[in-house]
Amino acid sequence: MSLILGGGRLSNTRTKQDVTVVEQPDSVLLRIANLRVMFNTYLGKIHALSGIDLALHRGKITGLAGETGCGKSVTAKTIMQLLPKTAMVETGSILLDGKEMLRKSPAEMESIRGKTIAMIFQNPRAALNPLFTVEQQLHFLLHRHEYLDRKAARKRSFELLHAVGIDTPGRRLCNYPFELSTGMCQRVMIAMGLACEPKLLIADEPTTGLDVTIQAQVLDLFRHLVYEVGSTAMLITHDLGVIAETTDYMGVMYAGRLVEFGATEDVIDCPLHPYTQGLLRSSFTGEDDDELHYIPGVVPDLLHPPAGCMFKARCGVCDKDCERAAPDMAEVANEHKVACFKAGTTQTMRQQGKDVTVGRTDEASLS
Amino acid sequence: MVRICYFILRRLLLVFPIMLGVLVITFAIGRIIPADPIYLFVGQETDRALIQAIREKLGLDQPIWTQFYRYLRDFLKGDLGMCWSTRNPVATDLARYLPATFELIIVSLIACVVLALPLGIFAAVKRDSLGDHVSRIVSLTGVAIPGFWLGLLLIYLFFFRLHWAPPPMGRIGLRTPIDSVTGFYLIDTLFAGDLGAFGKVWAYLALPVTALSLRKLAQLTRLVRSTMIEVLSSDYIQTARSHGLKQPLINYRLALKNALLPPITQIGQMFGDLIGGAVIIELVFAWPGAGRWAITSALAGDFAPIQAFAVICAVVRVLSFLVSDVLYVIIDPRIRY
Amino acid sequence: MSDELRESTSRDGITGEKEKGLGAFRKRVVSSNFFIYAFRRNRLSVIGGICLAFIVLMGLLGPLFTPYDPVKPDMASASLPPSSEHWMGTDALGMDVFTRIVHGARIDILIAVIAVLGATVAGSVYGVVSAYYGRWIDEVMMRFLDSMQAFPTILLGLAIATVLGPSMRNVIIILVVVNFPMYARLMRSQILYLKEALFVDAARTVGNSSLRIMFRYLLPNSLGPVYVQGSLNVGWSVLMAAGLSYIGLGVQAPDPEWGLMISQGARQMILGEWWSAFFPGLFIFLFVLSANLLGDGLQDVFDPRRR
Repeated sequence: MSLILGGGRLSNTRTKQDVTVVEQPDSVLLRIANLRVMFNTYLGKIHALSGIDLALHRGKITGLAGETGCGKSVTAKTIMQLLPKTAMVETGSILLDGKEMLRKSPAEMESIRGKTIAMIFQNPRAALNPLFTVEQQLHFLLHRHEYLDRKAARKRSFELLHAVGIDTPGRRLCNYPFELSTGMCQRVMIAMGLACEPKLLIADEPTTGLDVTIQAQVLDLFRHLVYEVGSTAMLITHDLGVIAETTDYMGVMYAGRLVEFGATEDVIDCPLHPYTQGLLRSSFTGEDDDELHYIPGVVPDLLHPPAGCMFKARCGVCDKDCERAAPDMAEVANEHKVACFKAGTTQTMRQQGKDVTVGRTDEASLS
Repeated sequence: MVRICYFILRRLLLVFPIMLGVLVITFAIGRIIPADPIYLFVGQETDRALIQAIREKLGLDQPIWTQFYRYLRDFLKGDLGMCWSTRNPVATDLARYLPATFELIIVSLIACVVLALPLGIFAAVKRDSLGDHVSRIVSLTGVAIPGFWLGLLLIYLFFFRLHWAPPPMGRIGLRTPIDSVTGFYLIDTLFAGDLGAFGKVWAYLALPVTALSLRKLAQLTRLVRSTMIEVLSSDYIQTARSHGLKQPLINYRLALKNALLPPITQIGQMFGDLIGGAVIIELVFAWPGAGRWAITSALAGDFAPIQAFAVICAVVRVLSFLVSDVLYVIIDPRIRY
Repeated sequence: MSDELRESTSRDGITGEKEKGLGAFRKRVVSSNFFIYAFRRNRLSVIGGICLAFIVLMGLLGPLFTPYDPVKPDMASASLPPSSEHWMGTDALGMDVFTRIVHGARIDILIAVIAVLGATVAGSVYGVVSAYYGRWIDEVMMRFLDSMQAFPTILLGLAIATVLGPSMRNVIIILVVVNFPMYARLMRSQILYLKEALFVDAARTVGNSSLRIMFRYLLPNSLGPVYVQGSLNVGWSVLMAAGLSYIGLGVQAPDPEWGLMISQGARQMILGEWWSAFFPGLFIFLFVLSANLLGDGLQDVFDPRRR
């Protein structure tokens, strides 16, 4: 059996797990399978991720939506291996171009981070080192991965800042983060993220905390640059509007599980999971009713997760099946997957214009 | 550069009102609190005529405002009064004894900083390692140990039992003559090229410095460690990690620069605190410094030495705050004036 | 369905069945988790607290049980090493060291507690007044504090001790004077923060006088950090009181104050009789360590960030 690695070199020292036989170009860049992550805390074990299966298509932007605490950031940090010491990956695999990421040593991950996989964060002002100039911070990055010296790095930084739409790159390079606006800080972060043209760029809530007008600019920029560089992107946010406008594919997470996944248009037009439907109803106000819609109830306690489906306590269509076992993701339409036993029911109700959680919005049941 | 100069100027201006306040306080303590202040200034003197003469000289029979004016005027002229135990002007005695005190303090300060920074950083970077636990124990216990007790224990252990340390009889013992130019024996012996004496000076310094600096070492280590831990868990360090930068670079350049800021402020404070500690340590080790001199005078009821020493120390303390603030401003570009 | 909703957070993690009664209630009450959590995080502080309580108890009840007289010299038994009769040996005047330590505990604890309380009260009043009236009054009061704090604390203490003379009462006065600036600043910053709070305006509109506002509304809400600072201060005060006594400007003989005992035993130490200076210092160390540990624990409790 011939083992082929990337550039065609042969090596017998690699184990089977690191390499896969590549017959044809795979449209999936990153494949996450059955990922389970747990945190050891003083209060007990928190099951942050309970079996995530996710695939990111090459060159596309995939969004990951969900409430705070549903595990979106944990997923991103697991890919980057930036989890704190209290975290433990119980099982699962993350394959990037067929290579198992979870088996990489810390030294190997250090080379991968920033170069092959990059990440940009929420709150860009806090994410930049306050005591170093923009140029210095870019220099550290460029020197590390591309071995550029001061002059070459400065030139490249100039180009990068220009590419992210900063008018006076020369002046901005000498600025400290506190001298820049939040929008500009985020542009700098994007520049740093794309500096080494990574295969995968993860954006964790990049527009939360920005003004709405700046949000639109930054997202436009993000989309534009990702396509230009040819990277694959994962956009994490709780804002469904952002996802609707920016992403090609989207996934919805709830309490540590992926509950729905598909092409963005499909999911937005025809949400199948009750939670997705509830989210969409809560986000898109307008039309005739001026009632504020929400999903009643609270997210289950991840210290003691309930058996069966995580959403059953807040769901309008659940029954005995949902109590017994947690549903797995099942493909319903082309690439549109949902983890719900009642997907058929919800689809019908949606087509009939009925709301799945209709039994929940009356005040009496919430006393 | 200009920014820093303005900053220094503004802070120097602030020094004057504080110094005025310091003089007011010492004046109040010396002249207003006691019923008849004269006895604070004549020590054991019993000659009535002399007492009366001094009373007039100090103007103790004048109204308070005049007294304060004369006090201020004399102080600025350099007339700090008389020390009755030694029969010298206070200024003379101070000039003689201060270098010993400052040598002790400066060496302790350097020892503190040189030891605390690596210890604290190491403890933060390698959390829950043996070194971390050791540093935490040191931090907790060092702060609770009375300096004078530690000094005595050290003398007992290293001098009496082990015979490693020289007797606690001062700075250099009685048999080594030193031609003192600056008053700082370390410098003097180096300049004279007398390496034997240089070594001896260190030997005599070892125990007092240890007793003096342990407490501050503990405090500083704790601060460095906790600041470093906080910085290492900050957002911008997470960004640096996500860029795949190497750990040494992250720890010792990106994080450290941020973590140095609170310790710098504390180091500035430390200098003043060390003066206080030195006063008692000098007593324990019979160190011929200004602290011991001030205390023995105070025990004899003589107020002028303590008064002068307190004022000098206040000045030094304020200046050390200034220096640490300037350093802070140099490192942190966010402070603007 | 809606009942499920209400109790959805207290289901058994394994079977999914509803937990009824006390179990469900307890699980939802955060405090029980909090105490376990707090204890686990702060084992050291609890140990410190226990040790401190033990020393205080020793000081309060110990004198009832010690057979020897703490202030009467007994030259026949001078400088005896630790033995079963004298657990910590005797000092140069023949007095039992352990007995003196037990009696001395009262002195140091009393000094520390009164001093810290006094400094807290004095400092709080000073800080509240300064912050409430604001502007130039505040400025002058703060500059005065700056000048006071410019002195190394021991020197200020020494200066005052020289003038007032050495005694236990004066040690307390000195400690109050030296410590109150810290509390003044603490209270002032708390008050400045709260002054802008809404409920003060509300109180004023209803007609409360300034004084009433200060003491009834602002003060009680600002006390959290004061407790923390106070417990840390108790340890430091003991060190300073011991230091002053060691020098000779504090508590005077024959009172068995621990610092004084160390200075009396210092001469013996050079001769090899270590016990009369060692044990008092050991107790000072234990007391200060416990107070500090407890203070750290309190900080975890009162600090809103509560890591």
